[in-house]
Amino acid sequence: MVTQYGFFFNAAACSGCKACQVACKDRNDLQPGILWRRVYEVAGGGWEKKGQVWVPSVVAYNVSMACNHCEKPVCAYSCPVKAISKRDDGIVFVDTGACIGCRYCEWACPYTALRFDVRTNTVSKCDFCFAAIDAGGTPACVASCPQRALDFGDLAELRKKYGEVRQIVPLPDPSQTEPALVIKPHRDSAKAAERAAEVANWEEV
Amino acid sequence: MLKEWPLVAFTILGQTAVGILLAMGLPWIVMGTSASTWTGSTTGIFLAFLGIIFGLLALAAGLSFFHLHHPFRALRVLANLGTSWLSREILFELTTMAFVLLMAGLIWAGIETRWLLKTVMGMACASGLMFLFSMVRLYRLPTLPVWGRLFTPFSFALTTLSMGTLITALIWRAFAGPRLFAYELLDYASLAVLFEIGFVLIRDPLHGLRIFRPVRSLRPPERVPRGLLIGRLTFLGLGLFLLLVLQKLGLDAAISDQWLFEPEPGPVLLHLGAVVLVLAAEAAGRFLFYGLVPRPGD
Repeated sequence: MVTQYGFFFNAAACSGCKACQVACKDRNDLQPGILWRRVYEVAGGGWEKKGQVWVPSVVAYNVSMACNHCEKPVCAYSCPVKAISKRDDGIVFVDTGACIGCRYCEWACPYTALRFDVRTNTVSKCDFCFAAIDAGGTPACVASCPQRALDFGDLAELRKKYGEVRQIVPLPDPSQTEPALVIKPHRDSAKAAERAAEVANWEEV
Repeated sequence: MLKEWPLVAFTILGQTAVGILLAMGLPWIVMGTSASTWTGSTTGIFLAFLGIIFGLLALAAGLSFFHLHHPFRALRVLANLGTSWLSREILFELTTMAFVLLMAGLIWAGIETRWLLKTVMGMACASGLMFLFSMVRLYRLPTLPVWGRLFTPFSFALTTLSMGTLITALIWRAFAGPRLFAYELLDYASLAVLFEIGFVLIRDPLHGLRIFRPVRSLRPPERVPRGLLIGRLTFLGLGLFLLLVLQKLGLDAAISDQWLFEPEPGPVLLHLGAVVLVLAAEAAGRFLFYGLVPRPGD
């Protein structure tokens, strides 16, 4: 039995097409402005002089990010009414029937996974498509990715298969929440910090 | 940022109530007169103080409901005392209100047992301090570096001290209350305001003026108006000026051993002006505080 589901994201393969984002909205019938999965376009660098020549030093890649169903879910710890809980299989979900809409969890989550939904007046977030998972299916984002840049499964198995990396720029320090996430970094991500790379599409995410 | 007005009101009113409780309660516990020696007016002003503290706490709690989108579900807000500082904050607010109410009830009932009254007042002050502490812890999230700095506890403590001492002195002045203990509240109020100006200028002069966002973050960039910091400093400076005028004129001096202030309207208005200015400064600072962490999608 799975004790902690997790996502795998291959930044080297992601083209930034946002099919995962759209599939998530479609599956969960999310209204405009609410994104449970988001694709961040990370960009930095410019030109640098090498000898007598100016060469481009641009770094650019995409990061597809949803709730990471953290092993230390700070959103659940912060919720005053215990509306956020963790299932036995590690999936963190919001009980919208209990949420008071104080939005404190929005501040607590460093991945900004929780989004306020004006239709229900509660916060909402990725639930790992647990209805599909329970029926033996696949999360919508994973199923929709044309590049196969997303995968899911038992976190221990994902780590065996893909490694231990769980942070690239601009993701926060993973020790804060222990995200159930494995990443294959894009080659540019190693130089992203020194080249002051930043999210370039804030208006979209 | 302006959407956070219920939280701005809740934190400032809550801190002000705790400040008044501490400015009135602690000196009374240490050096106050015994209830057995009180006259009717002494009892009256004591009850007025407790009523104002209780009223401010109740008002803070009431206004905080405006930031809840399902206020009727808030009955379960104490459900997560084990890990949520928000639950603990509300718990300590409620216990503070309960101790203040109990204290008022004891005085109203004419119970003069010195140790009992001082114990209940001590419990109210301790509970108020825990309310303040939980408020600070609530915002000092490890996942939120911009609020995790020392600025948050110092800022909240200075709001508590400056607003608490200022309003305590104002109540005393307005009611021309009898002298329960000998200390000059306006000296402490001026010092608290001066510390607040110094703290903003020296400890963290760029608070809110630079974009404080760690590189590794998925939080959207903040767009808080930079004028709020200037506004906070300006209002604090003007408030301090009025306080110094009051002190320079000697209007805060005790006119006798029995009475703390002379009940004249001029000084009351001047004093009220200082309170309004410092309150405006605290509001500007608090909007700046919340504006530094924008919510995604807003």
